[in-house]
Amino acid sequence: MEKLPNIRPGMNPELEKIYYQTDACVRCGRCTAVCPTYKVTRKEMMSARGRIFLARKYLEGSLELSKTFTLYNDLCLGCQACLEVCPPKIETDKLISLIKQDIIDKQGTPLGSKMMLKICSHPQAFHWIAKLLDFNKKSGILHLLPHEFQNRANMLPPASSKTFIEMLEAEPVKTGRGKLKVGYYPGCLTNALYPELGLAVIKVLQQHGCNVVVSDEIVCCGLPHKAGGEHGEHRRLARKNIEFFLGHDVDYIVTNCGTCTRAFKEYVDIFEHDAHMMAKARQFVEKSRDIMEFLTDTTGLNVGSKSLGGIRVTYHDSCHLNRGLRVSKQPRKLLESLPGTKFIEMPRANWCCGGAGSFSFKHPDTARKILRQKIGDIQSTEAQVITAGCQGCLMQLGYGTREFGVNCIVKHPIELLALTY
Amino acid sequence: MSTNLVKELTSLLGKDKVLYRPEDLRCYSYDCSNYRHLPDAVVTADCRQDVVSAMMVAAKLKIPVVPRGSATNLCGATIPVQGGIVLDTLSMNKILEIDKENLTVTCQPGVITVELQAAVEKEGLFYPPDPQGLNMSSIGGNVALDAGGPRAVKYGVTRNYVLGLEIVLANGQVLRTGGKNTKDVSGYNLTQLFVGSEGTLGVFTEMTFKLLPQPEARRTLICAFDDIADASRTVTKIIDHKIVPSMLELLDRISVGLIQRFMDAGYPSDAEAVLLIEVDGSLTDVDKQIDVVSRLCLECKARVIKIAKNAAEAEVIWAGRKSGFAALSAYKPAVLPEDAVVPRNKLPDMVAKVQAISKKYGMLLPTFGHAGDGNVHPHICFDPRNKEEAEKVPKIKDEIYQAALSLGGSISGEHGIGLSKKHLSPLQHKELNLGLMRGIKAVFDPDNILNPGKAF
Repeated sequence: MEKLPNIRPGMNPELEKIYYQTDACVRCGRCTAVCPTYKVTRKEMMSARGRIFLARKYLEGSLELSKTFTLYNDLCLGCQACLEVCPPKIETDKLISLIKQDIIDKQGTPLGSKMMLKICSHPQAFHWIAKLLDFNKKSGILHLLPHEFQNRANMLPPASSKTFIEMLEAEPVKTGRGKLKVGYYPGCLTNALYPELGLAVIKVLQQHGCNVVVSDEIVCCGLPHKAGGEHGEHRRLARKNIEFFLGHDVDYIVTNCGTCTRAFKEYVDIFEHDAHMMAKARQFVEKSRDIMEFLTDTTGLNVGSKSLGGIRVTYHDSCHLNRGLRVSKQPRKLLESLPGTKFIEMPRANWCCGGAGSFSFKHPDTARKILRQKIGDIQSTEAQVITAGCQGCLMQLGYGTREFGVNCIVKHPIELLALTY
Repeated sequence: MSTNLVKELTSLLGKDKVLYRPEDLRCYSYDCSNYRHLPDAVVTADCRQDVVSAMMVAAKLKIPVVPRGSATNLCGATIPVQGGIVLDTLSMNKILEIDKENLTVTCQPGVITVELQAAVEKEGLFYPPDPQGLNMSSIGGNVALDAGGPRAVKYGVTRNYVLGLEIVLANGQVLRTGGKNTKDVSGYNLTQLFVGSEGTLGVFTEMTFKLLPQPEARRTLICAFDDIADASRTVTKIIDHKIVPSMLELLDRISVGLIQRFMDAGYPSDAEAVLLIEVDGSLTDVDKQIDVVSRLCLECKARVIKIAKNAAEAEVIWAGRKSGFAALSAYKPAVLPEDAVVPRNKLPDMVAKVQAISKKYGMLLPTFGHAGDGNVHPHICFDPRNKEEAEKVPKIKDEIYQAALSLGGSISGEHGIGLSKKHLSPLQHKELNLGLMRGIKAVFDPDNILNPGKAF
């Protein structure tokens, strides 16, 4: 029998705590039944128990930091499916993200990620990149670029001519006499790629008696920066969002993206050395809601009477929305209440689609295999519309329909709701 | 040696199927037991030819080969104790044929047990063996270790369903045994020799199983007792009345408490023992059986009897049992599920002996198991960082098996020997038996390269 070693000295306390938590991994393999990366590769390194085992060896000092080790950690989707089935509830996703952080501390943020983070910091830059790619796709310039790059460019949906914020500038939100003052946080992808979703959200909120506050002062939620190790920038972005919405004295802050809302929840901890900001962050977090949760649980659903003409709809659970925020019943309730809609549950609805932030861009091969399985599950429902509550998922599912030639449209449930008025 | 090995393997199998980086080797150094050893290379086989190629290299270089599926076994059967090649057949996961006329299914070894069950169920058929790790275990692993589960009391274990095998031998030759015949007395039964051989005789590449029609109905009953002896008596009485439940499980007070802490399965936490009983058959038959069973439970002083109203309620009751191992591993960082089996009527004696051992060492030994077939799993739960606890573990383990052997039992009902119980083998088997087994091993594997050091 193996004698248990100890973590090497000088590691950060959080890693040390989680290291001793992993003592309880009995390698029962329950995680192998639910891990999407294991399912498509059938390789032990791609399971939670494999990742835990490698992390332990690294933390004990018997496994060197290497390219392979970095890659295997990066190949974790962070979907938390393993946590749900793990008997001793080992937080593998947290372990992996702390290890990634440790690697960044030692080696710095990779250049590609740095560029990506710069783009994320500037709301309009995102849109320009998308437009540029779109132009290149249409003009054929893209064909001159390496195949690998073309594939990645195809993952993005066709760019719209205007951003959400530009559309609002042309036609500002009317302020009515709503009962609730609701701040709307559209998120970078809605702004750059899905402006019509943003408009639908405003319409739906107004139908629920809300006065909507939205502005171009809103910035990225900061999740990519946190993951990329840029903690200062993460705090700067968080502070901007907190101050904007609290400054407008809103009753709630509503988003249409599980990932952004999940990211908000982390705002409190990042101000641990600033009691004043921490209190504000707490207030901000308490007020923030995913829109489907907000409509179902706070205002009560108000569905219009226009029929959607008998469409078949299915729903994909975003990991951040489902496991991160425990919002899974509300979207289904919403979809089931739409007139002229048949909601069909898909198999493995709560399995990650392979989007997982920048995962699909960094690891297109693995992501594609996971996506193919997801698309297969969707096809088994014969749905005409796929819905999801996260822009990252919408983007990945949209790519899936184009890539595998599936005749399905991809929408946020709120867009369908907006059609019923 | 290992660079040469990797070179030879990649030249035959290609780069993608041979793993040798330190990170990869680490991940194939463990299973669900507490043993570890690094292999020199890992081969992820996609097809029979890959298995043949790996065996040819191993035979040429006289290097050990350890066949591996999901590595969820509890006895260390897939630990490459002498290094060499871990031969992973998990990617060979096709269900090749479901034969509805002959009631058989043919598949590759990497199919996950639950997926095989689901596939045949779609055709109205039934593959009964139900090891409790069936959500993640591979069917090849089930055959290699002759896995069993709660249904064994009525339906038997994996062995009882294996009709035919395709095996790659130590020298790379491909052997086919058995087939779809339900009866076959021609020659020695080589098929059954391979079942439970823990990968020491050959590597499975294809297997054919017998199937049954799905039973029309099932009913589940749960009952609680204030004395564990009453629960054991109930088991004997039910069998006495010519009823063979499809599942008949016994849980002691500590297990019940820990399971309830892990998930609400509706078990009465204050009972000394709980019996979970399922009967199956035709619609009228199950009602009759469940009536008799509840009457017998009452006669044996059962305190509470609850009959599940529907399939959903039954599912919750069985989910509790299925989560047994998980519930215990949530309680202590290390859990060793021991696996003793005694003749059915010796079950009360065995349970009493386990309780005495628990008392002697001052450690909880939550026990549950397949009361219907005399197979009990006392679980040694401990913290490996607690020296005092850890030192008691091997002593407790050996005493459990000595107790089983003294009652005419065996050191393994369904988990296998692997590394964890090798030292106990000579206590159960006479030298004559061991000598014959060594002889059989030498016939199939003269160079001792197939999973050396396992099984007996």
